[in-house]
Amino acid sequence: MRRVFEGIPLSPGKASGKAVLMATFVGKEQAGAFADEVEKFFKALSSAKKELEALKSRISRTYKREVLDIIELYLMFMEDPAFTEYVVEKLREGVSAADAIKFFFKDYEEKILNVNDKYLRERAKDIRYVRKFLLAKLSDVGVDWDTVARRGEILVVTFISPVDVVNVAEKGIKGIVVEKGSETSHASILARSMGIPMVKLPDATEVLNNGDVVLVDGDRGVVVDPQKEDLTTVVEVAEEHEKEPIPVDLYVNIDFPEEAKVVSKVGAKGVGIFRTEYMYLTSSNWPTEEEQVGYLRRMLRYLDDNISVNVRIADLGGDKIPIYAEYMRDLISYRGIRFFMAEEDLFRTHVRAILKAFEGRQLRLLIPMVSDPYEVRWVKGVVEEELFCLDKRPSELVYGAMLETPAGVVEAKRIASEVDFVSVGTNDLVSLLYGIDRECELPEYLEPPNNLVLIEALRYLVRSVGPDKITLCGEVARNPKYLPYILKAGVKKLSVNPAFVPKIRKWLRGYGKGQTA
Amino acid sequence: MKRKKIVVENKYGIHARVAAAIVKEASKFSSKIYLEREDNNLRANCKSILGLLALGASKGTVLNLEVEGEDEERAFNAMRELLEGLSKDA
Repeated sequence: MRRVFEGIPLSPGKASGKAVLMATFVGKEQAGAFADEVEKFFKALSSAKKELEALKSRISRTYKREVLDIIELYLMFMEDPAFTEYVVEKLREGVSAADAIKFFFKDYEEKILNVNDKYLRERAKDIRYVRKFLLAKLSDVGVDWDTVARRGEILVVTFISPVDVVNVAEKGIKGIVVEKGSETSHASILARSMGIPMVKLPDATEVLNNGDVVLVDGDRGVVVDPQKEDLTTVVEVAEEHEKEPIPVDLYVNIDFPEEAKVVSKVGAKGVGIFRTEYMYLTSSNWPTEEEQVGYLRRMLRYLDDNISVNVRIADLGGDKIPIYAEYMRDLISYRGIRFFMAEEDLFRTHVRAILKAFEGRQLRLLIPMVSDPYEVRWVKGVVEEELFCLDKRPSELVYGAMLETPAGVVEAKRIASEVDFVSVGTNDLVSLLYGIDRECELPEYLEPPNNLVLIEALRYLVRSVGPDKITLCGEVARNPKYLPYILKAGVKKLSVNPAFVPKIRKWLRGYGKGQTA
Repeated sequence: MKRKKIVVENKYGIHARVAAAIVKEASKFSSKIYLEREDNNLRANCKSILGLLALGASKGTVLNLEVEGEDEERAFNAMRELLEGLSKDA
């Protein structure tokens, strides 16, 4: 029987198929056969240990003794004879590897939290990290996306990480229904750029069942047992980019090399942001210099030399931590450029790869999350040192700063004096200005026309930096509620997800004609 | 079986680094090596770092060292030396 569930659209488009509910993310995990679980467990354990060992040798040069001690402690937790003994016993009882790990460490966490000494209690935190780290490793070896994709086409989960959006897309999942997430969450951004419809339905795993035939309508919600009329898709004509003038220049934000194809298709002026972090997030280890060069060149293949590309230094940290770097979630809780300031070796590899990949063409290097001019100077220092040692180099090198923290806005003038262009990242700026999680929607009273703080910040930025130097990148740029205000603030360049370029263009034509303010 | 009462005297008790040293030493022997708190009978296998941390032995805690096994003589001496030596450090 046809049932319709209104949802919150996260990624547009329509996809239909059999629903597959992911048990891994929903409540208790289903244990596999004993032998499988044992294998899964030891694989996860050895991959976790290997990674920490590698980390140890890598950082022994750059970090203090304390950090090494922590890593050694983590290794000892994993090697504790009580641990494997307990897990194997539980597996024999039919408990899943994931649950066994959880039970074991939670038990110790609790015991240590009950200790009557504040200093000793601190270690409970470390036990929690090791538990999470191991569980991440386990899901890495454990979630068999092939099997999932064989069971259905529409994935229904409580929550999905950016990395898993890529994983499931590669395996042929056509649409995603999540219980948690927002338009600006990185998973949504990725789903959009991969063209996978995604809808948020707060009780999805309750109301949908394995095997239900469902339609994910990325503009509306979920339809169970859809009828013919639900399935007919309105084909969005992306072709209509005639030369009719619009008041702004449009650029696109892209996340994957292959997406660069769309730049000319949608008639954008260039790439406003190429987000290199997905190169890290989709890899199973820190990508080598050669791998990075290859990845970047794959993108450049689609772009003529005269098309401008702002390559953003990988914006890692926060919810964008590669699975092989889970340990960093705590050792280094920095984001944006500060992540690399704490990881200079990794940064140098990244920089060398970018410089090499852009051999003979203009490189517009965008620095993420700049809050102080010092950060720009630090990047320039490293880049220039690396440049000095290279014979393959860009024909021209210009720097840009991404302003997306309130501090960056306040310091805009001084930061801008260090760079050639500025990009305003409104996704983070909104979240930091209003103190709201990126995963949440802004309540209506904080949006224009009710509240204009963001718009005021933009106006201030345009005034401090100059309208020609500034590009706005973020989801607000395609929101008709915001767009007129953004234009009134003096913004002349927008960079958006390619899927929205035609819509915005259409809207802007209307804006020019009728609804001039 | 060999037993000895030991008072934790170093400033931070059996914290992570100390526990790690105990595990490393204890793991050299085949004997079963335990530390038991005198006040609440919590018991930890000295080859288990998590067990040792869960003891929560802060400065002043009274512990009983228990060693049993083929190499208990050597193990006992080594453990006693380690644990008593700790008291001098921070």
